[in-house]
Amino acid sequence: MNRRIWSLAVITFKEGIRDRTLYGIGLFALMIMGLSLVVTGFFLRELHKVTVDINISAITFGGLLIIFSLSVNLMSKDLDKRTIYSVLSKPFSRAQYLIGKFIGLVLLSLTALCMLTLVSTLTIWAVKSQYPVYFKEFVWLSVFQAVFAEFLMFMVLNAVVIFFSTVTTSSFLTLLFTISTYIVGQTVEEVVQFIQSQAQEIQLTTAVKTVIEMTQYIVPNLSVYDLKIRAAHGLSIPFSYLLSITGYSLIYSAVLILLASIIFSRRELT
Amino acid sequence: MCADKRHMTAAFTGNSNKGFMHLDIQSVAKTFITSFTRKKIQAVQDFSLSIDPGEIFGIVGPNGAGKSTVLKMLMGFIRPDKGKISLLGKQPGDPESREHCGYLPENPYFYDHLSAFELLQFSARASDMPPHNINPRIDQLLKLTGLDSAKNRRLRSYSKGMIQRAGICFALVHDPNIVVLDEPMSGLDPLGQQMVVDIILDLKKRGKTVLFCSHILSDVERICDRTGIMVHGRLRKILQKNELLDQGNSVRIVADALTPELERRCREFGWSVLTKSTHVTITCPREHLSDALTLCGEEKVRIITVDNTVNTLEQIFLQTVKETEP
Repeated sequence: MNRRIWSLAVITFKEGIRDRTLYGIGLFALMIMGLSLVVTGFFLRELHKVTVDINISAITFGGLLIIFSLSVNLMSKDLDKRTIYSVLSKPFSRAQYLIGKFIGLVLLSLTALCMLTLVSTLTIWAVKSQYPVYFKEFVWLSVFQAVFAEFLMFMVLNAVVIFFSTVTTSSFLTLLFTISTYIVGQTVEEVVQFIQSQAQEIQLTTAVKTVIEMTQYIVPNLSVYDLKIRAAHGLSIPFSYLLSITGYSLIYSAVLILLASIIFSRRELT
Repeated sequence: MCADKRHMTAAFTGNSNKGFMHLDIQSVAKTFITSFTRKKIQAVQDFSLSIDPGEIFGIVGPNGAGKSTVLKMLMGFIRPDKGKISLLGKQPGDPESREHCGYLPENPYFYDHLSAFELLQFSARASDMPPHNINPRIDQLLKLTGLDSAKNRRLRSYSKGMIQRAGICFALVHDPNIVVLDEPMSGLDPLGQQMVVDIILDLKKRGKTVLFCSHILSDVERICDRTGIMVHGRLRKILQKNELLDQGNSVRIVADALTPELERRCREFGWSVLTKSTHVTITCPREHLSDALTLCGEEKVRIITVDNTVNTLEQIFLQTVKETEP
């Protein structure tokens, strides 16, 4: 990789990893996981499903908070505080700058995810040791596959943050658009499926249909990354599925970064 | 600055002048449009400037004159509406144009959670410095700017002056051929200001080109080969160092009033006249002193003081600003 881009990725990562917000988010996620140790005992059946569900949800929640707070902040601070002047006084093209920031943010999400996964693994292991009888259908691989899918989602959302940072001039708007993208991305598939299945009963105008069609292709389909239920049921995820969502994430992120680069290279940094 | 620091100033820069670099701005203009009222603000108008290799050029001007806008256009942060800019023979939009360029923004702000050492490592790596040169160079610069004892502290704990020093190191770490500094003395104590002067003079000695904006006119006057006075987006005057020195042979007469005849005669002789609410300052060549005093006597103007001109640039600057007032 280009040494220049890597150097920017490294300082973005360092800046993020040393932020106290990260520790707060980490502690909160750990608290949820710790809680699962206590709460799981209240359930009388399917303890393994509850445990896996709570732990993967805590990982998702922690990862999302990191993106909505740290990633948005790391991008917007460069522009708001004019740190970007110093960075771009170096021979970076605007595209290289965005790629460097993106890699740094992805590294940050990856590190946080690894730490949360480690603690989550220990939590699940502790519950499993306590109630081994309920964990007969449990498969470790499914849990890690679900976590991997979460990582892919975080990568796409980081690209969304980068994209909206270049489009808007306010960190609040970047945050708002990123959260909106997440919500729409999680539900768009269900909405489309519902409309298609109820096509006879629901009379929609052509304009509404077109908007839904377009949204389906523009907004990332984030429901493909939600493998919590499969992991909770101990169902293994086909390798081909993981490969396809990996390809989808890489292509979607690359297109977003490309679009962001085009927009950002025209933007004036006043 | 102590002697060993002066010595280090001379030692920290490595590469020699490679010949072709220079900086050229031709008929550049920039207008900003405010977001709500859509009002046009002409930040820079018909700005032309060429700087030769090894030259120190200072731009002075009142706040809002457009100095920083010129530097931002030069660095490619904003695009001029018209005109051409060339940095080392390349357009500012081309990242290669910044390869041999160091830039210090006005009121620099860096990453809070990095140390000065890490920041400079980034600066050096981003400038493609050979890895084995990076750490010794950083240590040298940090020592030179007095930050060596705080090099591992996070930048969020730095004072404004320390951030400014870190910013100077950031701009210079890769030993650029062109150095662009926006208010380099800002936030620095007198020792820090002297350090910046020494660094700039050393850069000149080593054949580097320096362009900077400053409000500290005495330093600009002392170190610049040429000085541009910018008012309302236009470069109103460019003064050569020898012109300023010639002005140094002038005397200043401070009188309590100015009659129309006195003003006419002063203009006739080419003497500068600066009117304030309480007094009038007439600046004329030393050999015209007796004529000027006689003239004041004839016009029954009371002389308050006569002295050698100091801060010549300040006089010219104030005069230029006054001339451009509507």
